[in-house]
Amino acid sequence: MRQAVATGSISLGRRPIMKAETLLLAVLGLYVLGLCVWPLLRLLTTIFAGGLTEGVSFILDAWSTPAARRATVNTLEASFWATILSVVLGVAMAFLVGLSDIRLKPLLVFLLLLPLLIPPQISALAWLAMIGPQSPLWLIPGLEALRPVRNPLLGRDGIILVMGLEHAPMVFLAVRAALRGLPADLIDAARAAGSRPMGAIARIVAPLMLPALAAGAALAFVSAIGNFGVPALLGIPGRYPMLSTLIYQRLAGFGPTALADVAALALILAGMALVGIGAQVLILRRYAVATDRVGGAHAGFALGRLFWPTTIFVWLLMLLIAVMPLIALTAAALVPSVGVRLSAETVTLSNLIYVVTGLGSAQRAFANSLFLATSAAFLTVAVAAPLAWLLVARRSKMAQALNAAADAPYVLPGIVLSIAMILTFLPPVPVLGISLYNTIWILLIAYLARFLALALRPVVSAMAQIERATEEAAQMSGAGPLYRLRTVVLPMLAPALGAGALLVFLGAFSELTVSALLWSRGNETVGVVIFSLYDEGNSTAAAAVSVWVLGIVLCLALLISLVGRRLPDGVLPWRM
Amino acid sequence: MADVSLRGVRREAGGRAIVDDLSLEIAHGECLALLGPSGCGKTTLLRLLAGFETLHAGEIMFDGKIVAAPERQLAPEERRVGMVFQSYALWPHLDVAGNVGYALKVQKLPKPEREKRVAEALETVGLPGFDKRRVQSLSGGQRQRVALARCLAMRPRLVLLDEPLANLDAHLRETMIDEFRRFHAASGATLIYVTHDQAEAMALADRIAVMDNGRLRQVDTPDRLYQEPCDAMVAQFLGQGQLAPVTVHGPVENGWVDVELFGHRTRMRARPDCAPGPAQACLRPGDLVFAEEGGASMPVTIVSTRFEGGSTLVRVAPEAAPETTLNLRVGGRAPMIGERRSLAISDGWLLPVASPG
Repeated sequence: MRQAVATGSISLGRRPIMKAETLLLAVLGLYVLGLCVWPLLRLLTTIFAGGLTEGVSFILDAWSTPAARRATVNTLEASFWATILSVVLGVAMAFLVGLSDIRLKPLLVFLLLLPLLIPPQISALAWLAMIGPQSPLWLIPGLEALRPVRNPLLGRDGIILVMGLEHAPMVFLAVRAALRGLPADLIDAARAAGSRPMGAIARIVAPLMLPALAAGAALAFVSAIGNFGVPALLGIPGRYPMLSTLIYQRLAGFGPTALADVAALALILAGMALVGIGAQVLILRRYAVATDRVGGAHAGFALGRLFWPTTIFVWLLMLLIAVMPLIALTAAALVPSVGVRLSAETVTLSNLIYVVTGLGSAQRAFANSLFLATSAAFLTVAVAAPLAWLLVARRSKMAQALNAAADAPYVLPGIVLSIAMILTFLPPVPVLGISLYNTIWILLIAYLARFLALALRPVVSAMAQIERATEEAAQMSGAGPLYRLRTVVLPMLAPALGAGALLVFLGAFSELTVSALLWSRGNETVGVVIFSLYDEGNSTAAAAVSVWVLGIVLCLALLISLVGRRLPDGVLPWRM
Repeated sequence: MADVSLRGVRREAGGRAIVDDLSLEIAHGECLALLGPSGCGKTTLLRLLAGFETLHAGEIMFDGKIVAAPERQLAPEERRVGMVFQSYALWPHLDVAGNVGYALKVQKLPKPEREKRVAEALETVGLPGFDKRRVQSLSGGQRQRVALARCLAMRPRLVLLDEPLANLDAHLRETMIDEFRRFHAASGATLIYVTHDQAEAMALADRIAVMDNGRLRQVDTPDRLYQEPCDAMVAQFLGQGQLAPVTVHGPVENGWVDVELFGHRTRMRARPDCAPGPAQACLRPGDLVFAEEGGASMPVTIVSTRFEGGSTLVRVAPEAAPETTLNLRVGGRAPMIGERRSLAISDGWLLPVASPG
């Protein structure tokens, strides 16, 4: 019957609608390549301009100085121990929340995940306030004798402790997700075969959780080596330099003349991060066991006699690591000046009022961060929505590549990104002839690059959960791609877009790592001002600004969680 | 209204042909059911017609104009084809009127005209006054009606239905089948209806196309398909046909021919070109009845019985061939297992194409 193919008039050929889709893809492609890929390539070409061997010897030169070596060793050391702490805390809590009958799980999870919302420099500041000589902790009768003279958190141990707690949520979330996906039947089958609960956990659950644990640990490690806020507040005064703080100090001290040198250090840092990311991807791909879940997750074992001891221990721990530091930080903001002890006579709101009404840099910082975070949130989501649509619904290979490319500025250490941004935007922009360096725009560009992935993840996962047929039905009604995007896809994506925008806002509002190298006078951000105030010795004002940030961040988190009930699975990184 | 013609259509996936050299003509206003076991390629064929899948060989024509060929495909939105999805695919952010009137908005129809057609469509599917209701507040049957109204309002030339009743309970299915018939009459559109449920296909379709392994096995009216299946697959897939080896004696006269079944002489229907010699017969459970011993009946032993409510399905083994079994339905008292009875064969059909082996 194939001979009949030649007959029949061809009525095809008119396809102007395809062009709109291609044009959209081209615009998005330029955006992602220009913001996320080009600066990083620029960093590579700066070092390897003279060929591979010359580049390698240049990196080795930069690394051979004692300061750089010490920073590298310190970075690895502190990150290693911090990761161990994150794994212990994250895994223990994931198993407790996932497999036991402990009560008030949502609140427990919320407290554990607080570090996701609180920027590292504020966590560091809060811990300093809690352990430091001025802490309200020493007001508790009986603890007075423990009051330290010098803050014991300054230096390596403090960095390990705070970074370890800061990144525990990553391990927790990875293991928790794997536990959620574990069919209850597997545990029940082990029990039916004669295993006690602990036996089933050790023989069945733990081995199945290993890939998730390892992947979470790799992620925590990558975050630790890229962390700037904690080493900046604890390591610089504690004389424990790490790569991120060394790069910062060199560039802050010598200015753009040190660019080539710090670019080499940044590449070393990026290399370490890439090893961690590679390990994570490899582990998940190679070893993750796909268990297809039929029926529900396990309801949890009864703790029995251990119920109350466990409950008391866990809540005391959470009180100590999540609640107390924030109370201490607030207390530090309520004293009139540094060194004054908090009491009924000394308590005052003057600092909280002063930083928003009298302190110029803080006022500017709030305005700038508000502007930057809002713009970044809107622009990023505006790009993420059509990209996710092209990726999921139109199955565009190109969109898939762009999605992967957008990950690079997010997973690489922020300090690497900011060096790349300086290298790219210090020279005058071709057509305009002006340099973006020393303006607020370089901050905006860096935020757009940094946080695109943060918006893409929830939007892509929500997009994947939209039933294909809903768009196909619109197609059958005669609606072209852009019309469908506007009338069907975007309205259905709306909750995820809102969540994505809020996540970007939260990340950008108190951002420090990227801003630390890109800010300039008049263009301060909130994160930078907290760091500078602390650096100047005005930790009371730093605490006051932090309290404002905490207030805003927690309100927004509450808002997302309220909206979160209506969100599809996987949109929020935390889910209670 | 449209006539649809498929010529040598082929689609591959993973190196395997999902739809293979398939040719089919569907007339103006016809209701054709695509019937087959799951994985036979019927949904892929439907999506090829809709334009969601691309074909690798052949062509699809609507009203004599090519809409799909390997090198060029008309986009789904340009085909003016309506589709009713198994999951209904209603848009949750729009109300009922918003869903039904969507296509009209795409066509930029003026608002009064749009509202009139939405109201008409809702009236036709028995949901008048539902226009401001939220989709989520509707029951499964109501949602499917809204999906139908959405299709009706756009006045498509061709409507594709993808297992539209699969998500509904048995009782509702009955009602919706009547609904689809009314829909077919009201719209006058050509209907292509994918299902794996033969009762649905029989009740609705003017013709049924039975698919298996990406190929068409037989396209016929429901009656002919049941009475005269072309091969073993169709015979077994529809109406619980059972196959039995027979020997044909003599020529076909008025559509009937003498055959020998397990040593027993009887008459069965056959095509005029049926040649004497070995052949394969399709026997329906209803073709077999218990009879008085002797005469024209065949001695059998009862192997098993299964009570089915109104009747009992009895499995018997002919004494001439104890290793084969035949099924029949009896009302009243079920026979005892091991009991010896006699079987009369009232009807049978000789398959034109014997299955290999």
